[in-house]
Amino acid sequence: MAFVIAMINGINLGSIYALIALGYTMVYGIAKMLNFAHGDVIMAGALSVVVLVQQFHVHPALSIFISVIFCVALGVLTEKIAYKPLRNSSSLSVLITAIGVSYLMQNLAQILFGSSLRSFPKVFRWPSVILGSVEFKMDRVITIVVTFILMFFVLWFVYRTKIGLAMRAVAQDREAAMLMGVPIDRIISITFAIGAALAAVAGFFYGVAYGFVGPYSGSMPGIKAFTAAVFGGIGSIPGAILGGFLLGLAESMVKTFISSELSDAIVFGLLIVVLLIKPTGLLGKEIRDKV
Amino acid sequence: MISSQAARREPSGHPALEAQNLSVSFGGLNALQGFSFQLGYQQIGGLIGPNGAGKTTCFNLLTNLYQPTEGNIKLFGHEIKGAPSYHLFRWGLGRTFQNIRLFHRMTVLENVLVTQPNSSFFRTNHQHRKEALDLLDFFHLADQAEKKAGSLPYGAQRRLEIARALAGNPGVLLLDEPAAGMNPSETSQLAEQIKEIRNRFQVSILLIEHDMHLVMGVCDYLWVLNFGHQIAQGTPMEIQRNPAVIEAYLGRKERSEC
Repeated sequence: MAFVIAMINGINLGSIYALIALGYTMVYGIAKMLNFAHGDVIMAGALSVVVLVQQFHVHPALSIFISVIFCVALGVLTEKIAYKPLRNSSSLSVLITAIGVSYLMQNLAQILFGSSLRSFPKVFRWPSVILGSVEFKMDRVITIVVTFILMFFVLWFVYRTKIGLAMRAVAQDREAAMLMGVPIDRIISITFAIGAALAAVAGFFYGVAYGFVGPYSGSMPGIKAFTAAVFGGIGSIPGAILGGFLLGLAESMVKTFISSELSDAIVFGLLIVVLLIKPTGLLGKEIRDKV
Repeated sequence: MISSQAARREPSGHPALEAQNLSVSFGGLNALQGFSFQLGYQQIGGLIGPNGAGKTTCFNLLTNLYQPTEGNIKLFGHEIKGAPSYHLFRWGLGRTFQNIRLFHRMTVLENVLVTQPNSSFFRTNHQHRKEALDLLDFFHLADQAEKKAGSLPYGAQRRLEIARALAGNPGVLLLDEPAAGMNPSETSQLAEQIKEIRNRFQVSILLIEHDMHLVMGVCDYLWVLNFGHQIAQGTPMEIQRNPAVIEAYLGRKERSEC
């Protein structure tokens, strides 16, 4: 039974990682940058739910929508103010800027809300479902269902809509896409908006799963989701989903059966091994050199 | 700003595309210096010259990928300075690339559909889909619409690039070495097709090409560049007799063929 519970926890955790990893991988694929401030959008999302529910007594179900809108605005503004002026600069400048934005968000959150952890509101009060001898906690079930719906939505959006078509074109050859009339600024904004919305939802479920949120709560899931995106092959959308689930499952299994203290070390060790064997990640595409 | 398709189709006294005193330098190297030209409505112009003469640099200036250090460019009489490259496409400028730059992992049809920004937000409507398929049909690609662009044979990829550039219904088409890598029979087919494109789509065409049979057979007017300078201009007949051109370009080529 421990195995089944570890599986459920792994899928729950993995689905959160996958949501965050989607943001990393889409921004990397389309804007060609590593947005290291992405993890802090998770924190902003979770913290805004805490503030809305505790200080403004907003209903938790409503708070999630406000938090998504807030994070989308945050993500799009960050891109416009900090990253867009660097569109033609070296990738190193953009990377350092992203790290700067990450610290800025953490410190702003600390100034506004203090550095202590706040308890996340109890959102799902429904009883657990018991099947046989396994207990399915409702919050886990809802997390998994909602994240699956969102993942299918993202896949549909990218592979079946016109904007998704333009996104894929920009990802493959930005200059050619631009000369074929694709408004790249708008496409990049939409990409950041989707990434931030997914991060807000991920932040909400992360808060539900762990119960506490502070100004630095975004960095660990952010790093892990980034790892998941690299693991699956950064730039690949199915890769981010696969990487997220595999990382979540591996972490949960190691915690349950080997050691909870060493879990991060073992999981990251596994990643190093995979990248040694397949440097582009599980579903990564080889990058074709442009002449 | 160009408001409607009709406005730029009807000759309004402006050339389709013109450049005045176009210059650009990269780190002290003058890639292009004082180049001026005028491309008339439905004219087929050719830009020729040895490798490194500044031809592709000129195309990159015309599409605003590079900013000129001097000079200006007008598309249907409108200054293009400062406009994002994606606006130029909507203003009626389509181009292809020297090294094929299709969206290789997308289907043939998707490559053409990317260029239709005015169809609805989420879905491509049936009208656009039909137009795209008609366009592919003209280039003998309709039966391969669902294949990945990267899986097409080389010649078909070149044709698809032209189809993609035409999908936005441009008034000016820039072709960067359309015959590169083609065998002689494909090249002569291409020559016919370029004339057909001009007539059917009512576009002005500016092309860069090394294949002299194609250039002389297709172009109405030629500009010859060498080391960033224009050394001659004229009709193909005039260019063939121009001593400076023979010296810089044709002469050298003939000698190397001996």
